[in-house]
Formats: sequence, structure tokens, C-alpha cells
Amino acid sequence: MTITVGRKTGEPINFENNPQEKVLQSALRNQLAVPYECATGTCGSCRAKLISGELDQGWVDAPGRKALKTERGEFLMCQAVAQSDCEIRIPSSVSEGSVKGFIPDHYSGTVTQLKQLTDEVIAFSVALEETISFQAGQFMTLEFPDIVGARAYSMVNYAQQTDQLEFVVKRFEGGACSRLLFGQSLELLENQKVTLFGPLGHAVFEPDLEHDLLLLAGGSGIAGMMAMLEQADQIGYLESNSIELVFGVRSAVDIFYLSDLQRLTTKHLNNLKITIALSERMTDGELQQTTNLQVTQAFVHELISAAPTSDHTMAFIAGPPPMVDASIRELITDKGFTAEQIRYDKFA
Amino acid sequence: MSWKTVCAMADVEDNAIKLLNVDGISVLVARVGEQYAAYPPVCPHMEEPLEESGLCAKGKLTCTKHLWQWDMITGEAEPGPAEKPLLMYEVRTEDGQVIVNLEKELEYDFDDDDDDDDDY
Repeated sequence: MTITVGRKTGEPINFENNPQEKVLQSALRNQLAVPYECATGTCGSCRAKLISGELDQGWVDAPGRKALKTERGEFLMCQAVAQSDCEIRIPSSVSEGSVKGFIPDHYSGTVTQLKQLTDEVIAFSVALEETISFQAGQFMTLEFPDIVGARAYSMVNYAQQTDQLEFVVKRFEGGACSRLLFGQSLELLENQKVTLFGPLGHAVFEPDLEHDLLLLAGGSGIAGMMAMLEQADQIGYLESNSIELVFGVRSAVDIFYLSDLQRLTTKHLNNLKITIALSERMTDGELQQTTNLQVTQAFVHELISAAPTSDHTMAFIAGPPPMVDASIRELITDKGFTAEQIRYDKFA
Repeated sequence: MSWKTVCAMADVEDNAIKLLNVDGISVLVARVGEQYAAYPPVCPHMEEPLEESGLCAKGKLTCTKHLWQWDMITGEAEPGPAEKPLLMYEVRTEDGQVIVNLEKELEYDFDDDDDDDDDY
């Protein structure tokens, strides 16, 4: 089937989409940089308007549909699947060949290396059937065979090209994926088949820009930042630039990746500063081995004003929405950051 | 109806916005030092109410939803994600009052009609 994107200026753009493929996926796969953020139905950024043709709207209760004017034909590209040739309009100027970075595509793989990191956090890898390239900070959408809908997870690892992707998941009460991952013994999940789409996301590390980085992570939001630290370590980025990471979790037992973080900060003592922010009160003796990194009782955003920054600092934020919002406010009001100095992908 | 007194100059704090309603028209009045501006109360991106989502600092207004950012007085989009400027009402100040030309309510075209002049 063919999807035609009408434009106010310029000829319409046509692209082919596969059966069962979301409109957003086929647009991106065909290198059309259409607007999107979460790619999983919550944010509403990928709204478009159906002019003619027939769509299956997908997830009817998607939170991102709330702001749509459905009576005017508005729909979410990340949810809708074309049932016939369709003509659509997009509220942004689009041109062909405009996707930056690596072109997203469909992948399939197998779940491996499940590991429980804390009571609430599980890490797993997906062994892909072919290799992929992505930028540190990007995410994939994953679909498990027995769960309706896709989940977005950021890659924890980084390599220029790889057939292994590492992810981290936090338990979400009532979430179907959490039930799958946390509700049964880990062995049962090994070798689960999974389909993926990506790489996705605009909050990417661009080493060529030579920014100093301020990384603000809450919980599993650390995922993409681990990839950034890994890439920075691989390419010697910390020899000429500095990185400060603030990693927020609830209490000392909720900390994960501690040994990885310690290894990195010990290797880059001068230019990598890592602070773990515990939102709950610490008890004495809770933390034994925290060589070369700081542990303090605070919310992530409370540590922003003390972080050394300049016009050349790029801030990345990932975590629960209240943490992201509080951090954005602090960066803009306290640090005077411009919109160009802040990168995050809106998942809510 | 054209020029209307919407508030006293002192009613709006420096580097801040204030939502006002004058004869059924909602208008955001912004102040930076002794300069004032007035615009419709929503973000031109996704209709977010700027009184809640907007953040004022150093003469710039930022919608925290997607970081669209504008100069608070000219309404011009700052570099970054913003794709559209703010629609601006004419404003003058006189005898300590902020006076806005409300001849016609300014609205972003979020495709509420079937014309071809919308954001699609």
C-alpha cells in the first residue's frame, strides 16, 4: 500500500508501507523525518491528519490520543496502520531523505542474559539476527509476542556496529511487560523472541560537537547515559571534555551499575564526576564501596545549581516525568540554559 | 472594541507572564524590565496553556513541554526546537497601565476549520 504525504509547497511525497506496519515506522524507514518522540502512543507528538483512505487506529486508549481532533481526521502515526492507500498531512514541513543519523528499520532477536540488578530493576540483552548501528542515547521499541503494544527502551551498551543490544527495565506496577519480566523465573524468559524497531530518539550524544556533558538520570533513565559514557570512554572524549553524571535512585539498595560507574570514574578521575543522589535518607554503613564517586541525599534537580556548567555544556535528561520537568526548570531558571543546550526524549 | 487597559504595569512582575481575561479574550501579558508584550495564552505547537507550561528566564519564554522558546518581548522563536513565532498583540503603556489592542482575538490555526491556512 502507498501512503502519500500532501504538502503545501512542493510535490506530494509517496512511500510504500508494509502490511501491519505503523505509519510512523514506514515513514522513518523511508527516510522521512516526521515528528515523533515516544513512538509508543503516549506523547502525541506524531499526530497527523487523514485526508483519504482507511486506517486501523491501533491502541484506541493511547494517552497521546487525548489531544487529537479525531473528528477532523487526526491520528497518531505511531499507532495507526494503513488499511488502504492513504493520503495524509503532517503539521510540519517534511522532505525526503531527511532522517538524521542511522535509518530506523525492523529487527528481530532473542532475549538473553537476563539479570536481576535490584529488586526493581532487570537487565537483559537482545541478540539480533543482523547487526545495527545507533547513536548513544537512542532507543528501540520492543514487542514481545504475548504482550499487546510496544515498549521503548534505551540501549545501555554502545558499539559502532553490533548484534547485541543491552536494555534495563524498572518494574512498573500493573505493567504487562513488568509482569512478564518480573512475574516469573528469569530462565523462562531466556530465548523469548522479540521484534524491534529503531534506532529512535533525538536526545543523542554527538561527540563531534565537543560539548561538556551534564547527564541527569533518574532510575532506568541511566540507560542511554551508560551508552554515552561507554562511547566517551572508547573514543577518548574525556581527554578534552568533561562529563558530570547525577544518577538518582530511591535508596542505597536501589543503586545499580555501581561497579561500572566506579571503573569509569577511577579511570577518568579528572574529567568524569559522578554523584549518586538518593531521594530517601541514607543510613550509616549503607554504602561500603563508593571509591571515587559521591553519594548524597538529594533529588537530582537539587544538585544542578552546584554543577559547573558553561555556554558549552549540553544537558541530557532521562527519568520519571516529575524528575525531568524539575530538572528542565532548574536548568532554564537557575543555569540560564537555552533550549538548544537541553536534550531529552519526551515519553509522557 | 480596540485598545483596552488590561492591567497596571506593576501587576506583572519583571521577567514574568500573567494571564488576564478582558471582555472574554484571554491574553498573556509579559514583562521584561520596562518592556511589555501580549500574546494568546497557548503554545503554537500543541496548544499547551503557557501560563502552566511556560517558564520565564532572562527575557526568554520556554514552553517546558517540548522546549519551544521565544523572546518574551518580540515573540520571535529562539534557536532550537521552536518552529513558529508567537502571535503578538499591539501593546502600549500609559499612566502606569498596560494597554492592548484587542480589536481582533489572535488565534493559532490548529485546524479548527477546513481552510488550507492551518498548520498542516
